[in-house]
Amino acid sequence: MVDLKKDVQYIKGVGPNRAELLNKLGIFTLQDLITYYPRNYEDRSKPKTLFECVDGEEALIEVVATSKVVETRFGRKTMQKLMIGDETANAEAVWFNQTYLKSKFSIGQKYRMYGKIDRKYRKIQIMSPVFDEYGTTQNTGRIIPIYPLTYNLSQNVIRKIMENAISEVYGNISETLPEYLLKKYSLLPINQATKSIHFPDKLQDFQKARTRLVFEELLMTQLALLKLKYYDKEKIKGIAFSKKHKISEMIEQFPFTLTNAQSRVLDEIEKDMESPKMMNRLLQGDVGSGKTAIAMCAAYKAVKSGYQAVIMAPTAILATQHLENFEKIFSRLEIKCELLISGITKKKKEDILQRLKDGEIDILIGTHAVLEDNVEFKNLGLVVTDEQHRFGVRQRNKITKKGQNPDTLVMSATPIPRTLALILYGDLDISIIDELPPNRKKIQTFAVSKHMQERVDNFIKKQIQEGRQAYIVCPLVEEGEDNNLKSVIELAEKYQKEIFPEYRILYLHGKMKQKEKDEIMLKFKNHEIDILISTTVIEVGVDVPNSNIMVIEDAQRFGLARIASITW
Amino acid sequence: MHQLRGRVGRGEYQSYCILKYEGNSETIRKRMKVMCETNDGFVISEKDLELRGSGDFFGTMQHGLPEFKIANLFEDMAILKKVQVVAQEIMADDAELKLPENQLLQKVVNQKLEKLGTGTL
Repeated sequence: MVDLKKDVQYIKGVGPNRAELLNKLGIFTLQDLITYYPRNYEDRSKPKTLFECVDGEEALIEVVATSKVVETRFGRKTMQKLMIGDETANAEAVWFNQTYLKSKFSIGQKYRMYGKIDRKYRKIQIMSPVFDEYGTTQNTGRIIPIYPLTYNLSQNVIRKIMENAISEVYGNISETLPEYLLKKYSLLPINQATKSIHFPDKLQDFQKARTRLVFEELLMTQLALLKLKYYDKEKIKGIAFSKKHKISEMIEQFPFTLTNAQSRVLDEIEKDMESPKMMNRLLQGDVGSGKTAIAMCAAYKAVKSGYQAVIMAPTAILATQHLENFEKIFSRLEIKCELLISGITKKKKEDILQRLKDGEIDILIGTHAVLEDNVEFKNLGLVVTDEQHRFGVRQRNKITKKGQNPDTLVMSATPIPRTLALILYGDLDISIIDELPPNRKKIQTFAVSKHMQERVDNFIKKQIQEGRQAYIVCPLVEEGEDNNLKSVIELAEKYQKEIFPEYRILYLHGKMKQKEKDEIMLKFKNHEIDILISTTVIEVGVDVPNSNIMVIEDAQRFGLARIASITW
Repeated sequence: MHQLRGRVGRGEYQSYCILKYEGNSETIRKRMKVMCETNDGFVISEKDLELRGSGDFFGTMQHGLPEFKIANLFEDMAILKKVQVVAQEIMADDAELKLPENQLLQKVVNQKLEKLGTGTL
């Protein structure tokens, strides 16, 4: 068997220099190399006649050279032209700055060329084609894999390296899936799949190879998550919270009645909490479906059972908002809440840490500051992480270790279909709030094309005159963060100067410092700003009940819903 | 867009979401229609998946799914569904992957868990 951990440097055709470039692609070992999969394929196996070639397409042609390469020089650049032809037409092959080609062709010799066809009027050109002498298949005559990012390695070089690697491993890779699965699901053996994903003989072949590799990757991920879940449940002793203190006592404190979905979810959580197994539950619910109330109920039960609870929020301003909401209810019940965010004074922080350790604080609300090593609880029993995509599995473990296997509730505001939830959160049990409180007004949504701009602007004006506020979101542009910033600033300027000079406008961007972002959000909340122009960072924002307009610019560039992300 | 829209509709006032768009492709029109017709996040995410699956790829940086070397959760939904059934069956029989025929699985799964930072279980 071959050692897949072998340093990529020792693969034939690599060497120290190319190894360094491969390292940049995240390729360090032979294993990394053979799992660097093509992003696409070019079928260079089916030749066309020149007559059949269409302008703009990439095509394989089989032609005879009918001239020598003629080089023309203009300035510092050179152009090489070769007259070619087959039985249907004559054409030109054109290259730029490839002086070495001059000696590569002989008149009367047959070649295969693959390149982009330029066909105008009666003139046919093939631009910068790759080529082989007829009968060889280095660059043509077969299906060629196209790799993603290659840095300074050309497709040709990386392909050659891959060929060497595959010929080294083919037949020597140990099977990674059990025989019974290969049989039952008709999956290709690992050796064949690895070869065909890089160098399929027929275009259909890669599909079978891909199916096998996708199956394996997804299966291993799914199994890993299920095993994690199994382990948490069966091998870890968790906390059994008191059956005497019921969540229903807490519900009576709310100035509203719960939806059926909320009640159902609370039953699930209460059962989990009372059992001696560790709770690891994901709570999915749309924005506004009442997840905070659920968190309060769980915290209540934990505190009444003699434990502390911690609530984690992704931003300081959200944590502050949570604190306000919690205190409204819990101060009456003599349950002590505190806020721990990075902005507080050293003295205040030390005081909080001490009281936390002494058990004088029942519920701690904070940002990732609560993860710091010096944060010690007396008796942590419940962890609620809000918007878990900001934290990830590792951090989740970190906070869990601060107590004796506390119960964990993960809140997500991104409803996703079950199949996806199972692979993204396979280690968790899942609760869903699929119902909004009945008194909520439906947000009216309109899709308008750009020529309606003025009507939209007038509508915004009218609402602002009535005392409301508006969000305007511009999309992330792909060319990088700096351009994003630029597009936000440009849009803000346009609105401020040309459209709404009479209103107060500020902009918000992901690149700003957290403190700066929090300040701007606070100004918006306090109605010191009328319009907030932002990138999608406001997605995880604070409640501004007075803001009733959301304008999304270039909406065609957005997905319908964000699927929650976790850090792996 | 659904999450962004959730920023409004938090107070007593009637709230509005205005989607300014360009282009007239079928997918764009369908997406706009879904947004206008429903506020239900679960319905929207189902539709999203259907539309993304159709190959018109947009907002790739938005979904932030875990990175797979080869799998694509949108395109490979059918395989994913099958895999989930298989995984459940395996776990039901042999949750610790201790049976001889599951040795290979155990090895790779442990490597994955190692990467997740949980250590071998």
